[in-house]
Amino acid sequence: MIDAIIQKRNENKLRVIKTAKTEEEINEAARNGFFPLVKKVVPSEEIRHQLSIVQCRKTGEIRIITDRRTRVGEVYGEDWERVVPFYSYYPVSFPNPYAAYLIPPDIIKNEKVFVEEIIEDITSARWQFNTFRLKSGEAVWDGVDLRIIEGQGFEQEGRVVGNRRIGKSKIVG
Amino acid sequence: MIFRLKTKELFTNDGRLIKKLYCPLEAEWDGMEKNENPTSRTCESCNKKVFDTDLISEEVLFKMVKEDESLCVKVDMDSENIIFDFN
Repeated sequence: MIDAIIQKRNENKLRVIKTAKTEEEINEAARNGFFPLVKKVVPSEEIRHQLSIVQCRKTGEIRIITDRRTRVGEVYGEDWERVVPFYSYYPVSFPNPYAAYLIPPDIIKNEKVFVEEIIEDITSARWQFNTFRLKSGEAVWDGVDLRIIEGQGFEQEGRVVGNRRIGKSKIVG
Repeated sequence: MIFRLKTKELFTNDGRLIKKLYCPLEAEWDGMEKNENPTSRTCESCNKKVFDTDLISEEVLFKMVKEDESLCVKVDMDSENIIFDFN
């Protein structure tokens, strides 16, 4: 579900830029006429996910908990206990420390495109102590580089979310 | 929890629909009577408890709504416990 949020849709029906994540994929794209715009994969310290693990003493089954407010006994029953307390981790998404945007040969300078898998770590959403990275989004080809358009994320502070000001602050139903 | 603003649907983080928020009376949280337990307030329009999504975990809320589909909840747009989806 979170993926549906951090994975923006190509609502403007822009040309899609693919991302190659292995040497083989990059070279195959190059042989097919694409220019691989190679980037380092550098994990940002800001991007963090959190989880905790609970386990059933009787069956050994586990459940992953991401909501810090979950009371284990209340939700799962008395046979369940927390075996791994909440911890932060970096959500690894690339198999190698490099990747490349595959730039089509007929791209025009200042063309707006849709990047299917963003290599850079850009904050998309915050929830409790989690900070999610933007997986896909719009960018502009400046003739040399792809510039990811800023402000596609969701900021929850100050009642401004994703550059949109909220009218009614509490919704009931 | 994730709240989709266009549809006013509240989901668990893994995508299960908790509830679609709809109040025909357009009740206001700030005007509701506080209960002893801070997780809910009482709506005077229909005399029902309205539960605060900020103080209840998604799993508990999911269970509660499953047991009573007419249960009312409040979503705070300032909440750090909810991700707001504008898509």
